[in-house]
Amino acid sequence: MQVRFVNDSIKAAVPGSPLYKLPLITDPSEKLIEVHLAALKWNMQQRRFGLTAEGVDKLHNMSVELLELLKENMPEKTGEESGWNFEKAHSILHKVREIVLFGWTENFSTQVFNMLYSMLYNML
Amino acid sequence: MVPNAYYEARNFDFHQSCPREELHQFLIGLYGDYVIPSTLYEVEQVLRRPDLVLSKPGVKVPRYLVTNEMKAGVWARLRDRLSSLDSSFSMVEVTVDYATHFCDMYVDKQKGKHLSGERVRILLLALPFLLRDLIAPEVLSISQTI
Repeated sequence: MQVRFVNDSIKAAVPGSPLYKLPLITDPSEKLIEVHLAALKWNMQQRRFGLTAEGVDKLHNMSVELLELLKENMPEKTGEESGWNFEKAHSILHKVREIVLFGWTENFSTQVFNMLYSMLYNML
Repeated sequence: MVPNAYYEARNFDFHQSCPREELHQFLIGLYGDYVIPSTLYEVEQVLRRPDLVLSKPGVKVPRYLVTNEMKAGVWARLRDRLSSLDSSFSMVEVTVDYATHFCDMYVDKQKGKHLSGERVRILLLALPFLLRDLIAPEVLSISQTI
């Protein structure tokens, strides 16, 4: 496994080696999984039919938590300076407002139209 | 456009007022386009930390401690985990072609490769459970678990 290989190489490095006394590396999987699970839970919550006031309140808290986790656990995103400060990331905070205005999220899903578009496109 | 109270709202922005739908806002838009690439980026940043080189400082092409082959091994492991998902055992199915497509798109960053929202949803359901034990052993030995 790569983490163990790197850390064993650092520990075994002798003076003069570029690896000598470098800090060890740690496996980032815990914090990555935390983000993925929060994303999965958020998605399941926002798809629920007939959300009550408690349900949308919970969804909003989950939106805030997901955005915070993205910033905290993946601070560099993919290396861009703007990080998670862009519309699509921020828009998860608006999901509750959209549910209040338009109802169940399936009401404004484009899944069917997207599939029809693909079918039409393939027919051309 | 038929005027109503909604449109009369101060600083009303029609496009901003439209609901974001799951497919393009979240599945493809946020999770597929940003969360998954950021996940791979985080792993690569750990393995390819700038000081983890075997060559002396100042060389044009540094010799990394974690070689390209070792790095490729990580993503091959993830690809194999994905392709081993089968509906009888995991309730979701990922074919070998789909797993290869995942690697082409996210690891090799081939242009023109895309995933539909439903395909990204499969990743959303599966990836949280496939990232553990990817580059570091979850359990070092059986004796530690007893």
